[in-house]
Amino acid sequence: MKIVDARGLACPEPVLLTKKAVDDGEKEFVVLVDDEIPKENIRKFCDGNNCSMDEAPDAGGWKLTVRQKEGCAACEELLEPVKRESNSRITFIITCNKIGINDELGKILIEGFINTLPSATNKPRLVIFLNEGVHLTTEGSPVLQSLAKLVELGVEIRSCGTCLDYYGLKEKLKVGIITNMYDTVEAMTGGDVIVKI
Amino acid sequence: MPQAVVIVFKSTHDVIKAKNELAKACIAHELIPTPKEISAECGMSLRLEEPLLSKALDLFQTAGVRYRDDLL
Repeated sequence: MKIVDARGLACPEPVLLTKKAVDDGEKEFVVLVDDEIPKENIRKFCDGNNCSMDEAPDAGGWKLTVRQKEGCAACEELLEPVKRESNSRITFIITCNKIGINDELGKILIEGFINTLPSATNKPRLVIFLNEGVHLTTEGSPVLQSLAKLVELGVEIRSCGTCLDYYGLKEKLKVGIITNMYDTVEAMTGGDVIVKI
Repeated sequence: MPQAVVIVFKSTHDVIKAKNELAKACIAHELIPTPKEISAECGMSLRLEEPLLSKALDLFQTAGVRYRDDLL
């Protein structure tokens, strides 16, 4: 069985290597990782790409067994228009913990904005927090309750792993999941309406 | 769950001041846009649980935060 050794590699390399193995037609293969973030990102990749992933602890890291599921192209084609009609196609990219330049005003604007989102008629399908935006999904954020409400309503909340790491907030994430640039680029180029704040 | 009250302020500066006072006193609150049925203007208000209202108003009084008591 093919073994992809992604230990010690920075994001998004482990996900890219996993994607390459899938693209090369590997039906079942093993990926070795030594950090929680690539493990979870590979799981997300599998969830979105018709693959299953089993994990087992291995030498201080994890051994991930990835298997491609047998799909039915005809069914997926039939289901696709239904999915598109029923799901929101709006993605928000929040790169700051304020709206606009003024700090004081900007902070209450972003707080009011996010607190209003759960009652919006057309909610986004995905909100990605990058750079200073990750202060909004982590301990001490004034909008955690509203973000949790959004998750309950089916909105996906993702925070950039590199950014959490930069600000020392990786362990303080309170809502949503950690994402990487690979996922972010996929989300931004997947045909959604993108709103950047 | 206790009933929630919405406090409307005279200016954005008062909202900011009020928020800082509540944060200092560890009084839980939520910043929301002023409900349209209360005011057509674009403004921010604070929502908090009713039992916390009198303590909050005392703080506002001391700090000189101007709020719309006619709407309470």
